[in-house]
Amino acid sequence: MTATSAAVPDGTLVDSWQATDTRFETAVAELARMRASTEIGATRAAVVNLVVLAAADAGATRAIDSIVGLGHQHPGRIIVIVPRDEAEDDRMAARLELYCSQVEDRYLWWDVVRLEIGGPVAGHAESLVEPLLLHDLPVALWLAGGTSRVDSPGLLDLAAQLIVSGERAASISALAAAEDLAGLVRRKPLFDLAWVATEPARQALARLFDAPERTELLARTDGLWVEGPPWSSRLLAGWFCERTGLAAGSVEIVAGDELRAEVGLGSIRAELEAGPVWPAGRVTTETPEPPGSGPGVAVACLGQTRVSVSHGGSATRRLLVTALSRPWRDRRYEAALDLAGRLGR
Amino acid sequence: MSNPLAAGMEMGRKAPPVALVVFGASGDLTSRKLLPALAALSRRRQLTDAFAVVGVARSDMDDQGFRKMAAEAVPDAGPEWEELVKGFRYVQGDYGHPDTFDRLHAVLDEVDEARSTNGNRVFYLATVPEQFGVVAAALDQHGLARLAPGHFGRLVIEKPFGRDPESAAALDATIHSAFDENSIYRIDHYLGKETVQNVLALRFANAIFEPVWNRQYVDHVQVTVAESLGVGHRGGFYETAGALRDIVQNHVMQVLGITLMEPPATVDAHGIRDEKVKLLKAIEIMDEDKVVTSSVRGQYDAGWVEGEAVIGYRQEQGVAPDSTTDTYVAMRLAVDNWRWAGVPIFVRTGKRLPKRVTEVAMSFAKVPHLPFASALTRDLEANSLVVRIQPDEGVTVCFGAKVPGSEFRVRTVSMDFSYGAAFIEESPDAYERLLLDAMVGDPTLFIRSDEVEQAWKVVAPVLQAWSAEDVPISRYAAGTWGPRQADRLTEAGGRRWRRP
Repeated sequence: MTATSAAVPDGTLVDSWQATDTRFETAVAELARMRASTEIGATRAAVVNLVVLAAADAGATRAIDSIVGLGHQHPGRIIVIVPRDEAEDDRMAARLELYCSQVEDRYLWWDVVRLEIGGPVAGHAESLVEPLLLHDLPVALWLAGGTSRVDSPGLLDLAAQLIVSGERAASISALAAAEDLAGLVRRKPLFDLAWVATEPARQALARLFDAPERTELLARTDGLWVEGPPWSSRLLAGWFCERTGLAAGSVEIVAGDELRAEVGLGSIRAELEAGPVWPAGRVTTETPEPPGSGPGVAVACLGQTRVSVSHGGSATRRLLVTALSRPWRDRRYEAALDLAGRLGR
Repeated sequence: MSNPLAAGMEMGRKAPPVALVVFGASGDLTSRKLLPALAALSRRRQLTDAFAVVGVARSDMDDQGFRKMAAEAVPDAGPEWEELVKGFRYVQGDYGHPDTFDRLHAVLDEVDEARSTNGNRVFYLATVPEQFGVVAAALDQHGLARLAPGHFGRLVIEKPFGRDPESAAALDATIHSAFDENSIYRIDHYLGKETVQNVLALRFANAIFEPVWNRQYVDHVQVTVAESLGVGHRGGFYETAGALRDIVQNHVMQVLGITLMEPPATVDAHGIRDEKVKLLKAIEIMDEDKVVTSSVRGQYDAGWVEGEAVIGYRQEQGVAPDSTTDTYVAMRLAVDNWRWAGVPIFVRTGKRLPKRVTEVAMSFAKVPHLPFASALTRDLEANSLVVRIQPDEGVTVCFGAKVPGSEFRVRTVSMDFSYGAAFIEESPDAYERLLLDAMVGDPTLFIRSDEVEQAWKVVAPVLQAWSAEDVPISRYAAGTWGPRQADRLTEAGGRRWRRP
């Protein structure tokens, strides 16, 4: 066991324990010991269980590392399951971390349980997760390792909400990703990080057309060109088509930034074409000016009206904070998803 | 005459001069529970010098062997324990043989002389239940049960108290022929747990809970006694018991009694046990049709629990390959009194469930009207108050709270109170508490004869209907929360089982 006091964003690591070859009950006992430590106090407030089914690759590991401070916004328990590649190696490695952050005179506590597992148990991870869950709180399952193959189907049953990175899922085939995601949507409320990444752009576009004279223009749109991360661009376009009735064949998707290891939207640019109705021809989304004014999206129409929507924080964590705040079905997303796999010309 | 120097001082509870006679002294319960509990009492200085243990069992052992066993059962217990163990005695013999009790009598006389135990005895029957009557009768025949005024002789027995109402009554008749009811201490170790006792404090020492502890505010109650273990090497015993007899008839009924009873006039043996009996008498006795619609029995198949692949019940050692013994029970009970009429009481217990947990959850009615946009309260659950009995004893309150931000979004927050973290003082183990109570002579946390009788009245019709195969046994995979058929008990009222 190692007790440490290291700062992480919005939290301090106050206790930890790790073992490379341990038994589950040992880890559970250590977790109880950490909870019972007098430092944490007798009462503890919590709002969520976040279960992360991770992949062993470096990108996923970085993404998971970036969310450790998530407990500051959503105190509770983060359980990270990392299935090991070596299928025959059934040793379990565990790392437990207890974090605290202070908000004025209040303290928030959360813990992170990381279990690295191999062998047959990798197909029954729910048998490890269930005993670790904080009772009476919803379970959000982040399929950080991908959506196409979940080794432990029982995990899906535990979850009240699924969180996925559509960008990661679509890195090989948009059509296959759309099918995978649609399958998951049928089972549970699904929150696609790529979808929420488009939210500032969608908000900005919506505000731009708020005025009645502009709303009319939407019906006359005859083309959409989107450049950005592939899946976010498709979702944005799918949403626009579903909302306006624009034909899927009138959309052009241009892969922009290469998929980044960290989940989230880099930049996205959309142009609407409306022929003679819009002499200037285009609505664009872009990064706000001047540079350094903060992350966000700005939309300009006819070179005159600008609408800015800002968002803050690092991509993965910001998106997850939003995801955990909305554990319900998003019909707009489901409609956009329905179109997203078929878009592009 | 009382000690004038002790007046006004908190002296703490101490055992009086007494010899603790343990039948089944070479067994698992003695090593695993009783000896560690005695060592803890010794460490807390709640045993005086006028204390001794006399072990009785069939195993071939002498005083030295028993002392060695006691020392090994609690390694690193400290010098007090080592000193105490030196006075332990052992009587080897068959419980059906009079000579065993003659020798026990002689040893107890020697102990009285050597340790000043004053002729006081507590007889702890850590034996199989079939021996309870045999030992009690033998103790009576050898003048060890009913002692002269100024001395006490108490009998401590553990569940099961019979396997049906008739055998329970027969057992009672046998032991009552040797011991008065007020000298019989029936242990349900759940009652020795701090959290069960804390229910009394929670309900009756606070003004905020009791006013809502009734049918007006409580929508339903759920009691869960879940074990992640299977039957292990107890397959033979379990085949004759099953979950209904093993857990519901005793632990569940006791927990229900404490949780749902009326406030006692005083927290003492009469006050609490009288109210528990009243509550048990108010539980509806099911007829055959009701058993069919309000009970589910299950048996586990192979599966995965806590990361381990486990075998099914029928593959366990000592279990018949076509066994229909229940390893899981779920029931919907009704308590017909003014406080709880119309409030469903859901109870479930099982082996090879996903985790080990015992809890009582009060689920409160939803508010009559939510003055918020429905989209902003979609993930708001009804309030609940959960008393966790094991592990990590504590209380959790779940309530709605506004999510910080410009929108008025409300979500469920759990506020968890950990008993272990709240008090630095280490909680005594259940056996530690109950052993001391038996020696001190406080029967508050022990079960009275009429409680046993009433609990059997609730359970017996279910056993009867099950034995007639009116309720088929449902299968469930180890590591799940039981058979799907159990869901219909709660879903009928639009409710669902909790995930503890």
